[in-house]
Amino acid sequence: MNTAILPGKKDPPRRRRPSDSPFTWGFWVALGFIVLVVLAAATARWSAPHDPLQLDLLDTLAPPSGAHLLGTDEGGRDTLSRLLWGAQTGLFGPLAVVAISLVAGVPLGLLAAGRGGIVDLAVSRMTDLVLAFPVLLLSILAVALYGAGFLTTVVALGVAFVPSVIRLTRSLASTEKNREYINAYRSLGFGPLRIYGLHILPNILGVILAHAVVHFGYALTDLAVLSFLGFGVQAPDSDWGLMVHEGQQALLQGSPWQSMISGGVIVATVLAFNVVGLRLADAVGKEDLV
Amino acid sequence: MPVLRWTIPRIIQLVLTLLVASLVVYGSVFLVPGDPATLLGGGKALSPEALAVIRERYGLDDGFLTQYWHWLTGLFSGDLGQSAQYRQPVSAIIESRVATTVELVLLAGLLVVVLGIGAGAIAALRGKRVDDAITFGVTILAAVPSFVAAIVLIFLFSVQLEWLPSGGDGEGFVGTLSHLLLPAIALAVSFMAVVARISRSAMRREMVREHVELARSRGLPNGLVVRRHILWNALPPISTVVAMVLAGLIGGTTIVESAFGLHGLGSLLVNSVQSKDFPIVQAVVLMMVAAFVVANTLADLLALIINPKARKGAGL
Repeated sequence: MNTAILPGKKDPPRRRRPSDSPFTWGFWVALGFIVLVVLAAATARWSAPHDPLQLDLLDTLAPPSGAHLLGTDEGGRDTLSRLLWGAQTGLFGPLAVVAISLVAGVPLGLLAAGRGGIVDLAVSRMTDLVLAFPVLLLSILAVALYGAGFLTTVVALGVAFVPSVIRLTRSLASTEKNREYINAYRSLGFGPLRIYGLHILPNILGVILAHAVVHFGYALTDLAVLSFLGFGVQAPDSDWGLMVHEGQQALLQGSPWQSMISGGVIVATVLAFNVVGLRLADAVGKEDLV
Repeated sequence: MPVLRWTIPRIIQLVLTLLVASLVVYGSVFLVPGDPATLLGGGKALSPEALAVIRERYGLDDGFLTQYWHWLTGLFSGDLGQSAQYRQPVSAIIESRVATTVELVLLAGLLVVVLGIGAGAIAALRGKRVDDAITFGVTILAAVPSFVAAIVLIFLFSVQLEWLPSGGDGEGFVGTLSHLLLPAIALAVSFMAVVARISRSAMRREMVREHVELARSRGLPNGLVVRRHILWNALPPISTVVAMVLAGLIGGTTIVESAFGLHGLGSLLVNSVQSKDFPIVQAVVLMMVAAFVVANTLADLLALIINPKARKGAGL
């Protein structure tokens, strides 16, 4: 896989049968759901039927009804409105985490692959060290040091995700740099910055971005976990993980609506990003072979 | 001893990783702006006398490496510092909590291995219908975070059916088990799905290989072919994933122990972060990281034992 394929020795590209296509109906359903969540986040201001923070102590823990489509929570706040507003932190958090990990990880991975030697060793050892900490523990340690909050958890998770981006970029770039066309550029006298920035990076970016979509799902889960534990988004803001936590007391008393619905939304969103990410990775991975 | 040739370097690496990790966990106090004594004392405004006691206890007036050395040697003699919140030695608090977490991780690990590999094997070996059904279920379960699983399990089995308790620790063997079962399932769900997926594809790869065909054409009974030829050869990738899963299980105890109100190390960590009891946070994080790194090393060594080919790759 990581040897340069000589022309003539390469297997003829396999015709792709329709059933091989990674874009199954599951992919389109998942993508549709993601679009829906993005729309919810973008239009929460107008589409939410109620103010997400408006207390109504006369109508607490209501089951779904005409007035409140998904019921109300312990303070009588409208669950649907809180879910719609929660989509904002629900999507923006993972987006920031993935952005941090890409901005820090991709250049370091390219550097390790390009320079080799002591630079490569140093980057790899750093990566190993961060990977010795389970992601969740690293974030909890950060919260212990810098205090709970959305910003702390997002930055901590972003840092925790950097090593896997470095590893992926490094291995992809190491394979790519030994291929014929890169040798050709090198013999034309192109500098490393130009070769890595303009030729290697665009060719491996597809795979990196596909993995970023999968990481988005992981980050969404981890951020939801951290708010569930009370370390992320703070009350009274609307956040899905926090809503599961806030509904737990009511659930024990037999009104499961808020916890169950927000938990279900988290699962569906993570599932959608997993499916889309894996299918995309499949698609770019296969094209890479042809 | 050829065994030592590839175990000793791994163990040296393990010790180095642990040392650096402990340096990070200890040094993290100094990354925060402000006086480390305040942080170690619980983050509240303390009297100058109290701060002086803390400075004395942690040797904060010495150089950083001297302090670190003091702390590290303290760890080995069981001195983990003093909890600001409980006013007890950290070691005593941890001792009273560690059993619950170990039992929880072992039970969840057992579920992950048995049900994960089992479901993967069934998906790989039975017909397309079964395979599709299991693959579908596994895809969904992989997206269920343990705290959501916890909520659903509590509602179904504690609130609706009233079969199992929704929280607390329980006493005796049956009591402990009944209090640990739901948390262990919640913790295991998504990891089970990951292990099932990897097991299925690893076994699929082995099934079509020549040695399996040969074994079948020799007329070996199906069970033997599956066990000795398919499963055994599919083990290396499976064991790698199981090691990664262990990492998640250890960190995941923080979530399920909090959701179920179990008194283990995970919930201790969460409470201590909330109450800013930093000596406990340091000790528990370090213990969990150590458990994780040791488990990974054991898994690596296990992989080398199962798969002699990997020994060459290890360059040892």
